[in-house]
Amino acid sequence: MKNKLFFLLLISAVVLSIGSCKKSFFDATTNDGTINDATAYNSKADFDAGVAGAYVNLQSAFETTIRLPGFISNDVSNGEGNAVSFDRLFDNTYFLSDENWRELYKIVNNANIVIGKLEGVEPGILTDVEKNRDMGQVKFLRGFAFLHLTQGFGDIPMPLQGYTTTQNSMSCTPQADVLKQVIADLTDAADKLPEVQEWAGADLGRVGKGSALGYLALANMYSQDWPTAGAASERLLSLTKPKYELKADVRDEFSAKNRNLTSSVFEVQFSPKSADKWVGWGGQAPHNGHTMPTQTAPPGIGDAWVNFGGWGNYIISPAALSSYEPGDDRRKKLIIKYPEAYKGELMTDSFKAKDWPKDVDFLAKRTEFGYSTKYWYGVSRLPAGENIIMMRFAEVLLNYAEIQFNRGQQADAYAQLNKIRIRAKLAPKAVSSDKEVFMTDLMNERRHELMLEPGFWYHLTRTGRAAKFLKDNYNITMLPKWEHLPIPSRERDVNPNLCTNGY
Amino acid sequence: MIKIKLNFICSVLMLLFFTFQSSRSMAQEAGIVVAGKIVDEKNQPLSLVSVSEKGSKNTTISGEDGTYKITVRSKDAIIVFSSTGFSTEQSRVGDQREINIQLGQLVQSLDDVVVIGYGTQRARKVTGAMGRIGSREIKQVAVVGLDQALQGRIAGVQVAENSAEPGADVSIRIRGVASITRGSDPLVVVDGIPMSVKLSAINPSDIQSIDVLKDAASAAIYGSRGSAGVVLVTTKRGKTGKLKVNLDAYTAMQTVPKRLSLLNGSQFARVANENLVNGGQTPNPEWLNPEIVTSTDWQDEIFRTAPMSNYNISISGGSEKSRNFLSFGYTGQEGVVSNNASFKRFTGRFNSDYDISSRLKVGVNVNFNTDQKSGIRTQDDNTGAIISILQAQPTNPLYASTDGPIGSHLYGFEGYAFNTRQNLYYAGIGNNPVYVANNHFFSRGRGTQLLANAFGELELIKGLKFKSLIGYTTENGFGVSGNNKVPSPASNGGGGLNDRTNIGSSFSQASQWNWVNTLSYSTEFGKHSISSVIGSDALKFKGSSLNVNAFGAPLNQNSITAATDLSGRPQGNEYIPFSLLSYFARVQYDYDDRLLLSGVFRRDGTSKFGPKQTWGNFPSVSVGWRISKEKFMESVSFVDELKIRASYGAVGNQNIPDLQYLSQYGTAGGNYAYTFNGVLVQGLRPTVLGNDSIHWERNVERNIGLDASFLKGKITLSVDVYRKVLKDLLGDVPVPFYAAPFSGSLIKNAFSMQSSGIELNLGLNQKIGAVNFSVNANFSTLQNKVTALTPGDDKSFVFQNISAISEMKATSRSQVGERFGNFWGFVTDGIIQNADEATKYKAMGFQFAEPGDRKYKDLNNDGKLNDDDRTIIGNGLPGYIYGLNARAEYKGFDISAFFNGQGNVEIANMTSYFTSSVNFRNPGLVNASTNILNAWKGEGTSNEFPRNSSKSIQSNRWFSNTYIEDGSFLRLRNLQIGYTMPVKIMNKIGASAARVYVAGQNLFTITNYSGYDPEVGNSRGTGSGNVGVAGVDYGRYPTARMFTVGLTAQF
Repeated sequence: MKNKLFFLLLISAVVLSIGSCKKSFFDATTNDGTINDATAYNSKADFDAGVAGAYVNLQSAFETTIRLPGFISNDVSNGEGNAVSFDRLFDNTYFLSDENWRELYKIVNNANIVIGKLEGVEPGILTDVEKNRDMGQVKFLRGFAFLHLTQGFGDIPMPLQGYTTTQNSMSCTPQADVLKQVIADLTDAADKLPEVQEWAGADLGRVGKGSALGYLALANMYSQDWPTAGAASERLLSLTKPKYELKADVRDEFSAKNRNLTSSVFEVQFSPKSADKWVGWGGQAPHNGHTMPTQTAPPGIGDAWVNFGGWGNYIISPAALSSYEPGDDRRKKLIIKYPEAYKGELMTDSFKAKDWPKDVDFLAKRTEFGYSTKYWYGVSRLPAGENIIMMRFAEVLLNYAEIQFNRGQQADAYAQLNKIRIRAKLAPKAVSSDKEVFMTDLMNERRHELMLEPGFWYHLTRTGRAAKFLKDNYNITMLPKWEHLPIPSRERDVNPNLCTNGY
Repeated sequence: MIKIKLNFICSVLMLLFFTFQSSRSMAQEAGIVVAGKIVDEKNQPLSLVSVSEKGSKNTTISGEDGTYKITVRSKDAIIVFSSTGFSTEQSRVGDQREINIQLGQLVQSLDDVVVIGYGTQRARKVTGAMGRIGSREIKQVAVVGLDQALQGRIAGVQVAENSAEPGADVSIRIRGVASITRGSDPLVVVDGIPMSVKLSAINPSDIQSIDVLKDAASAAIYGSRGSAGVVLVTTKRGKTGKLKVNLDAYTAMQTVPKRLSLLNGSQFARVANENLVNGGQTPNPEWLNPEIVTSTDWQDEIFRTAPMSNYNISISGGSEKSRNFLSFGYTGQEGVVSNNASFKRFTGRFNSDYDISSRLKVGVNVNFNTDQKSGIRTQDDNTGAIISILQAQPTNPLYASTDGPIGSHLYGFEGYAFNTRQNLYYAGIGNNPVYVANNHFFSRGRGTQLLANAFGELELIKGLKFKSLIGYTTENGFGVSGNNKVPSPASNGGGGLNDRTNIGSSFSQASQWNWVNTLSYSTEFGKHSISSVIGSDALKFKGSSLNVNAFGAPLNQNSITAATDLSGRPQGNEYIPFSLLSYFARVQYDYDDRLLLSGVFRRDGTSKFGPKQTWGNFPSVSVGWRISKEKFMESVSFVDELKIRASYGAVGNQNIPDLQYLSQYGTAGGNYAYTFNGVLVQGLRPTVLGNDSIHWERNVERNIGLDASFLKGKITLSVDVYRKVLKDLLGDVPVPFYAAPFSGSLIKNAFSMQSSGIELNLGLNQKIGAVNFSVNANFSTLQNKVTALTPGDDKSFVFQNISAISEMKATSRSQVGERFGNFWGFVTDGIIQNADEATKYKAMGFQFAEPGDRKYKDLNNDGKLNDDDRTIIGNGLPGYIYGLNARAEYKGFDISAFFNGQGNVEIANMTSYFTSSVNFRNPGLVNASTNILNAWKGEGTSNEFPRNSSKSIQSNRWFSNTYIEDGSFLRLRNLQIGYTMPVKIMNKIGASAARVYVAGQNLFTITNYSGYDPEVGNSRGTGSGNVGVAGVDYGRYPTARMFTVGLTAQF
């Protein structure tokens, strides 16, 4: 009997032996190739990838930040040559504002994760220099994204860390407080970042001090904090790596061959190599290329002139075209209209009158419109790999002009403004101390300098001039709520605590 | 926690220990010796028949020649003869000293030993809902996988081929869907080891029986993995006796039984030019004289008669101390679509048992499989073979005799004719689809699986057995797919998108080990009988894969070599390991073989959930009452058996992805990258939003059943009624994009669903003269209702796009309060007949509507027609399924017919979208169904088919009830006629048994469905979302009709 009892116990021991295994039996977090919360951000490599990840959605966000305000201003219209109806633009299910919202929040989300991880990083993983540079970059990106979100949508939810369930029901932060956060992020970024050209070799293309200062000045202009805005601008002007400049020829500020120009404060980077494949269509897929040349070139001109033969989807309205002063170099060199000729950087022959589309539809509907050549250089890699400029030094100078005027420095304000005009081969404007005169001059300059770039419409809403602009140029009576885009309906369905922003 | 577990198991052990002490052994008495021979219906000797004296432990078995000898106590003794799969006979000894018995074959018997998971049980004692098929049913239909063998056999088990391509997936649904957003595949256990590789790795010829655990109480022994049911597979083993060699061979021809009615060349030429002219365009001069155009029947060009063959040989036998079963099998199946689809498989199995002593038994099971599959693109792919042949212009020829430009628009390449206006980027749609299927796209895979396990069983004392089973499964796979170079003629500008080859190649490796330990004890005392088992089961699964992509390899090179330029970086992927550790206990008690009680408890720990949620408990209880054993039933002589059963239990769902409890970051397959200084740098982003509170999905199921047998087994009946409450189902609950912009959702145990059904099995066995006749029929209903999705939102739904064509807006939608996976679309309202109606429709938002365009109902009566006017228009899950197998035997001949079918089901015929108009679909006009000949041509001409015009608006093709068809069918799945050779002839050829047969598979299908085949299965669907989609025909590879000639022989 004793023997059998022993046997029984032995077997029980065998049956239970697996149970004595340590917790590691259930561990699914190691060696599995995934980077999860248990293993992530324990190495410099993860931080490098996390920071790079925070940049990625710039590639999917830039297009809506150019196109959507362009449509709203009516200076840009869609491929049919019709203005997109305002009903549609301000519908809370409109895909462009939904895409703009999501892609910008992706930048916020990625930046929040890296900021959180950087704040808690174990000693020894990153040097202080590395930590500061990483923090500077992600703070810039978060500030950039929040600034664009609040420019577009006004009061917005403002999560400041990676996902937590409490964020599900958060309410909107007023625009003024969002801007304070933007200013804090950009100030920190400007302190921590090296200058753009101080990035060496493989790091070229990362944001630098100048990038942060350009947007910091703009953010302070919202609260009309002219001294701080001025200080930021002046810090930017005093930078040496690079020393920002206006190119003598405005055409030279847009190039397929030259990247990260000294005339650009911030460029979204794309890959020049055709081997770096495009991954998908639409704003929600990551890109290593874009379709801006195809979107902006005249429709159906053929593969010899632009990839996919041109779609003519973002075109410049007749009213905008006719607002250029005669002789304006920007009209001459950056926009063509049927049947003008154009020789892009990557073209061996000029695109001439005979090369314009001949179909009836085009001749009937599209000849009055302008086609921007800021993004169209000829056939390049497919999809296009040219950088997209988000802020040029020219915009910085125009902003500085506004700041100087408001600081009572009218002469200097006009001096800045006239740098742009002279470069455009236009006569300088005479100094006026009348703010309305100055602002009219300034906004005209912005309109022509920044055509089919991100900034113009938001300068109108910021300065309260949007309604007048729409009325004067397009005879459209603007509703007050159009100052902001509606928060996408899906967000308000999921979180009814969100604000309505007038909708 | 561990401590509680230990205490629990120790208590059970002690209980068992004391119970065992009270057992006693039976003394054998001297008495009357009775001998005889047992044969089957064909007078073949039956071995291994249990011969027992009723009411005692006295049992023996018949030998190889069917003879037996038993010593009984007195003349009053009754001898009971029983064997699995045969009728049970009884005989009073009286003065007889020789009793010869013939046993009739039964499809199912209450004395069968059924496999119940970690043990076996007599069918009559079963208290849960189970189903079983034996080797004869498995052999009846020519199938590649054991899953296909289950089709139509067991009530409540729905099996559908998702594609009829050789080697393609099959879906099994036991009692319907078990989850809303996760998988509903049952757990398959082969000889005690859960399968971690595809089911076709097991040769159906090697299978002795398949038992299906349907209700929660039966499946509870598998706890967290039982929600979708459990399929227990038992393979054949050697038996004591002389060596037997079994040969089983068949060869078959397969054809596509149906053609869709498409326009021929001249019809197309006429209709296509009409389409252009009606849309204000210039007609194509080549189609101006429809009488002289080419007319290619692309269906005939791609469908073909394809062979299939199957050979199995097995050697089995054994001595007193060792028994072996060895088998080899080869299956080769070519596809009926294109000459580029085929499946070849080689399997080997070695099962061996050794009796080391009377108390110690050991054995091994080894299964080897290697297969090769060559596939083509069909399903879910609008450039796949089926949809592209339907759309190819019949006016284009298949072949060209010269290379280079021919005439005005053709181009010869490799003997085929291409349309030079087109780039093969649009390979499927307008170009030469036969070339594309045969030469352009390729997808080949090789896989090898080895499943090995070893077990030992030690009887410690009588009735107390310890068994340990160790298994190891390993799998290697290699796949290559891509497309070959195609012509890019100069007239098309050359250098088009796809003038380069594109090859993707992958390697994968995975392994799983299992260790199962059980301690079982059974005893009887007085009228009490107890059978119990406790044990542990542990498994770990690991694997990895590597993918490489390359562009620009030379023409016809279809593998990546060292010289090939890689177009992207190789993607390596270590699988997330999966581990499961379980403890379980089961006690079965019966009183007087009359009152039955069974209790099961399982506790599972898993790697799938976070540390807080590692463990889950799954209890169940079931009871049975064999009314036929009651005294008052003794007088009711026509009833042999009457049992009612009831069960209640909880099980979990295993079909969930790993590591969802932890937030994860990734590079989105290497595609999440940014450029610094012109160099791509991989970026990280959130890929999974972790939730550490997720836990097992739970199925709480009630089942009531009845088993009955009348007139000595002539009629058998089994009925089950069940109700499943599926709760804590994992689902993606929406969260704001500003908080979680990459997913917009968080996984939570938030969803729930209920399902219910009635299952019926009816068997008839009758001997009429010399004819043995049997019928076995099953019928089951399947209902379900989604009861909760997003918390607090009773209008919430989850949806799945079911078409890649966005203009259709085709989705399936599972909405709270409705059935799972309803088709969601518009309801048609005929055709706009005149200008007045058109004006009315324009005002409703159909800005471009003209007479001849399709109308839809304004279901919400808001005066506008938009997405809000969509509703439930059908469901692809059958409301009922059934199967019927009839068999008759006369002397050496046997004939069997096996039908199966489904009803109360719809099919979304997405294929018909592509043949609904000849409209331009890049890069040209496409062919259409002959329905277009009846298109609207003016007021009153048609209220069904819209106008044929290139200007016809896209709303004419919106997803509506026009694409929904009745998916009911009744199919003669198999008709077989066999002849068993007489003994004399067999002796001459040295065989002990031989049978030849001819069979026809899928001879006819009664259905109203207009597509190739109403058996559509579960497609994964296209587009976003993860809800399974049933009943969507999207260019499904059609099921073949098959004629088979076969031979089975035993030597």
